[in-house]
Amino acid sequence: MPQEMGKSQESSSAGNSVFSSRLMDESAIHRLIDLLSRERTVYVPQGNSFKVWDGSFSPGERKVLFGPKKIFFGQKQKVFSFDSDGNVKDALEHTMSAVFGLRACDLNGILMMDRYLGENGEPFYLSARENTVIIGMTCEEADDGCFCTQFGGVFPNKGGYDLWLTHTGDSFVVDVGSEEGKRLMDALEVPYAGEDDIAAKKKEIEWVEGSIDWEPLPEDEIINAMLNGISNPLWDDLTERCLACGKCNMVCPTCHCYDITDEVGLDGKGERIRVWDACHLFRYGMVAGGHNFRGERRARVQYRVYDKFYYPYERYGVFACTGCGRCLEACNANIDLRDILTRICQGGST
Amino acid sequence: MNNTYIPEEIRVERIIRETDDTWTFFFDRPVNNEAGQFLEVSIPGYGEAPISINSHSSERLRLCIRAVGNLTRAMHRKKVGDTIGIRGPFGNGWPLESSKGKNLLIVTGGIGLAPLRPAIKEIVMNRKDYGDVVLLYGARNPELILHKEELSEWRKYMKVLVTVDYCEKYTPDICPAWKGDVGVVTGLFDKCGMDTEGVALVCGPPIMMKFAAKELLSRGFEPGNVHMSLERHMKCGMGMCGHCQVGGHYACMDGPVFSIEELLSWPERPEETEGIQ
Repeated sequence: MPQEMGKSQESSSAGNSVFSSRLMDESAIHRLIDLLSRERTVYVPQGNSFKVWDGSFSPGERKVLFGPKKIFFGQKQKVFSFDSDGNVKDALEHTMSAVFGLRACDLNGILMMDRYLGENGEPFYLSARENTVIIGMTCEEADDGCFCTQFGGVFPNKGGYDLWLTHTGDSFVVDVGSEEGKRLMDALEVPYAGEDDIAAKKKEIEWVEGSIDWEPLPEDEIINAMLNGISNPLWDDLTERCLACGKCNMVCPTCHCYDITDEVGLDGKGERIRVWDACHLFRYGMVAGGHNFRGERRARVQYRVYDKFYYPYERYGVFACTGCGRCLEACNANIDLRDILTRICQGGST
Repeated sequence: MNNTYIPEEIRVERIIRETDDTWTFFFDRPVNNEAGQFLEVSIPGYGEAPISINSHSSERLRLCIRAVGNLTRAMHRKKVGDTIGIRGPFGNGWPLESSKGKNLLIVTGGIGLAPLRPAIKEIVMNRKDYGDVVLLYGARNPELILHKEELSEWRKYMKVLVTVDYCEKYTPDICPAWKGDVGVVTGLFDKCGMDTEGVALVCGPPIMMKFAAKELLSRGFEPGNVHMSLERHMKCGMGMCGHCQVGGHYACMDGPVFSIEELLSWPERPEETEGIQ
């Protein structure tokens, strides 16, 4: 809904959207969610994931472990049902939704999914994307594993949202990114933000980004290092440490692999399911007859990193990492992409 | 917005047993396909599997299917008159257009002949557009040779050499039924009089493609002129599910046919190119 698939919206100036900014307090946020919930299923962060709003909500300070990916790309999506004679019934439904409180890393993930799934016409993704209002928030605190400053920072300067909230003191400065966002603000009669508020917002963004312990690496340095890094001893180390569990795939905002499988009851009725899959899992590269094209753990470890920092850059000109640090948070072996990037950029035979 | 996961129905008209586990299914209508493309074949309850198209676009659809997985085994329980589902065709196909006027070497092994049949048909139908054509085909033993009648037919249009890998009871001195070559398909390279300036089309099990590729390059073929069809488990066929990705490329969409030159330019080398410099 906020923008055309895969294309970033030009902002009038860095940090500002094409519509004038507004100023909300916390009670206005509750009114906004209430308004949205009359027409839409509203998802808000609660605990460690996004859940359907049940009346209570407090905007958190940081991202949650399980991002909003599942709202657009269902973990287990029925694509059609069939009866015992094999007659098929389409399961594509269009549901009006809103997601509130996602972060810049989450939004970046969605913009990447627009390429992976949207551009190739994944029907369930496109339906969710077109029918979901996106309201994001600037993180107020960084997690230990955060390094989003490598990929654009805590505020989405390239747009892609309907509304974006930045907490400044007692208020939230709201960047309006779409007609729908403007309509919501007008409906709630939210006042415009002043120059001081916008200055406070920029200061807040700078402060949070300043607290992130990462010195961004030049893009071409990463690309060159990846191109020449296939034999780096780093991969031996990672192969030893990685447990090939696929948790990093599950929490990653840009991991989009899936399996297609049938679930059948004893009566012969069933459903065809599109379900998340993970390139780290042993059977991922297996074909009928048992041959496995990525049976080696090393090949799988390497593939996922190349599919974040090299292959998407070749295909789309961007990295498929948003610096959210969730893979580190989820990893039982404490594998840190920042460490991988640093070591690969150091190159050679350390 | 269309739900692109929903297959179209198509009816089985005829079934030929090529071997014990490999049958060719004939359907009631053509699909508009390029030689080398594939379909996702669907049987509700058993899922889907990517299957190479065995027919030329001028023919009604044929699929040559070996029963090795869930879907293909379920397929072998289908009878004439039954319907199955198909999505596609997907993929790029063999570079037949750009090979016009050149000498062609086709190297196949086992069921790898199936995705090359439409290319061979295309060449046969437009024989004057191509130079010398050589078809090399290796099967594990004489009983597993596919498309036997057509192989004889094609001899009118091209040089066809068939070999069987190994099977003692079939060696000519023990079993007079097999008078042909015994040994792997690359063993035919010395016999066929190939033109290393020409174009090679290769399809077979990964191990066969690996040795064929290496051997063709060492004999002087340009990497850009050797084309291989990569076998992967394409689950969606539309460049999304990720299963067929190799070296950042989707075999379902960018392939399945790639030149060795392309394959060698990827940081992750496909298994089929192992051992090349």
